[in-house]
Amino acid sequence: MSNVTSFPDARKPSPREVKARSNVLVQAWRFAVLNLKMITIVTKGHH
Amino acid sequence: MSHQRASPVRRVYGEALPNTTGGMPMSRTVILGAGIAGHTAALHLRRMLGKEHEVVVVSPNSQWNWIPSNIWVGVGQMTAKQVLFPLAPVYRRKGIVFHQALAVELHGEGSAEQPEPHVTVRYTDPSRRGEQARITYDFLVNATGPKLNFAATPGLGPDGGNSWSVCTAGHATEANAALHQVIDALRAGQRQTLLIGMGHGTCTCQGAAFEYTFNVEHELVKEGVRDLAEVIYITNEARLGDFGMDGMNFGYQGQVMSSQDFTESFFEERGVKAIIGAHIEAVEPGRVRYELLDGSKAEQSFDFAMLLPPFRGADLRAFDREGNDVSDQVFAPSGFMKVDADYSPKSYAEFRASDWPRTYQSAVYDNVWAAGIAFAPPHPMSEPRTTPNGTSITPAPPRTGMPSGVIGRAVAQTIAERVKHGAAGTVHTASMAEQGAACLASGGKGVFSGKAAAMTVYPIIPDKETYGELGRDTSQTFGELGLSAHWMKVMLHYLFIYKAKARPLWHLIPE
Repeated sequence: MSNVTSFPDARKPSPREVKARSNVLVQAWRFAVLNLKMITIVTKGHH
Repeated sequence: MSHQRASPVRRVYGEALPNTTGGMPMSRTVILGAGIAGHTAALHLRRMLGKEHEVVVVSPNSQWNWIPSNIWVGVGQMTAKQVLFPLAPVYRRKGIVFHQALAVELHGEGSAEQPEPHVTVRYTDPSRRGEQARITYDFLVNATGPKLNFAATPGLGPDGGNSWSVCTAGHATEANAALHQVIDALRAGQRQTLLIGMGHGTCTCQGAAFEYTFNVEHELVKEGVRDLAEVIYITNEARLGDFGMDGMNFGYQGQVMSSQDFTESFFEERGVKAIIGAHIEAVEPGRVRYELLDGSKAEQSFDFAMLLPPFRGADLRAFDREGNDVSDQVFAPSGFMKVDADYSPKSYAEFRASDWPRTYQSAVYDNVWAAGIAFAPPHPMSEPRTTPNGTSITPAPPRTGMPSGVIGRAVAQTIAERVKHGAAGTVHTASMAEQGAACLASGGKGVFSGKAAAMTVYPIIPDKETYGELGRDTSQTFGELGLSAHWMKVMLHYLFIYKAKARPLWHLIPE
């Protein structure tokens, strides 16, 4: 028996979600959001 | 235990800085290691203390390496030169004394020959190679990072072994050359199996193996040879998405998604398979032998294997004033330095966030700290597991760049306070149970084709007493896939190298 596993039951992203991941406008917005989230995390770690 | 004492010994003491009046410094802080924690501590300490105080860095490496980008060197998307820069010019410019040497002995109480606390170092600098010296200190930061313990698994590693590594820029360069031989074979129509992951049951840094897996997969797609390649991730995690952190639960679109679901989805989408809960017993030419959590044993053949080693502490021994080896008091069995953590044996159910250190001060010496990977964690974050054969398959807790930098800075602040105010100085803390971490896991490089997973976690150490059964704040713990995370990783590459070079306003860039 092979121990090499695949994950057929894993959640599959919708076509819209996949497209959004590489859409430059959406990602530019997400880039800004990610920066803000990261800054929040970083700030909490600096006493 | 027998120990080869350093000999001959030359004393290095009171070297005047070029811009001081000469003579003895008012205080000397010696920092062992110039990785993220040590380099951060050195730069901040130099900034916080006047020139009359000496900051000394001892590192066996002449170059600084932005390790997160080694992944891209390993697939040919960057060169080693882009992730390395020489330390000496930076330290010369900042007024930091640099010894390219390996610390081999710690004499925290001094010794018969030298009554002041000191470290014995062996030079790796080509001009002084093999020469040994004693360097005295008032304060010491052990930021020696990990020793890459390839010897833990027979046949593991690129130096005489049968697998590749991306732990250093040099290793990553070699891995890239081997990967491209595989790509050539694929182009010639030969099926190839690529095995990437953890080379031992107690490895950490699953995130790096994860990144390399998906960067390799991305390259195979770009080269048009993906359909002939089998990409397998082999891991000591009991489930995907554990990352040595007991997994995470992300706040995601108003719901909570486990990192296991998040990661499995990514694997399925990219057609990457996995061997989970595995301890590799040996890496032979073209195959690994491994044991699973249920005690069963199996083999996996490969044409290309990049397997990370487990870590242990640096080969630094500690001695008391009489010359007795006290390493077992100063260091944990793993070789990492014991600090202000609760090291009492505990079961998984008894693990507490408060077990983790806050100040990183040595458990033995008042004037010694361990920063970054060099401190001994009190216990794993993930549930320890042992096979019926008694083999431990437990990911070691990660101490990534962000907490290492934060700890390095906090230790520098504490030492600066001690220098200025003595025992009344403020003690700075940086508990991993009170700080978050951000992880940008690359899934392929390219300005518009790049992919990455952005993950944040708060706090790093699960705290069930504060945050309930999930152990973390799900509003601050999230995961997201997309091009923006790749852009962010590229941005951080340049930002942190800028900072490490101590360019203008570097100190405004947070760790």
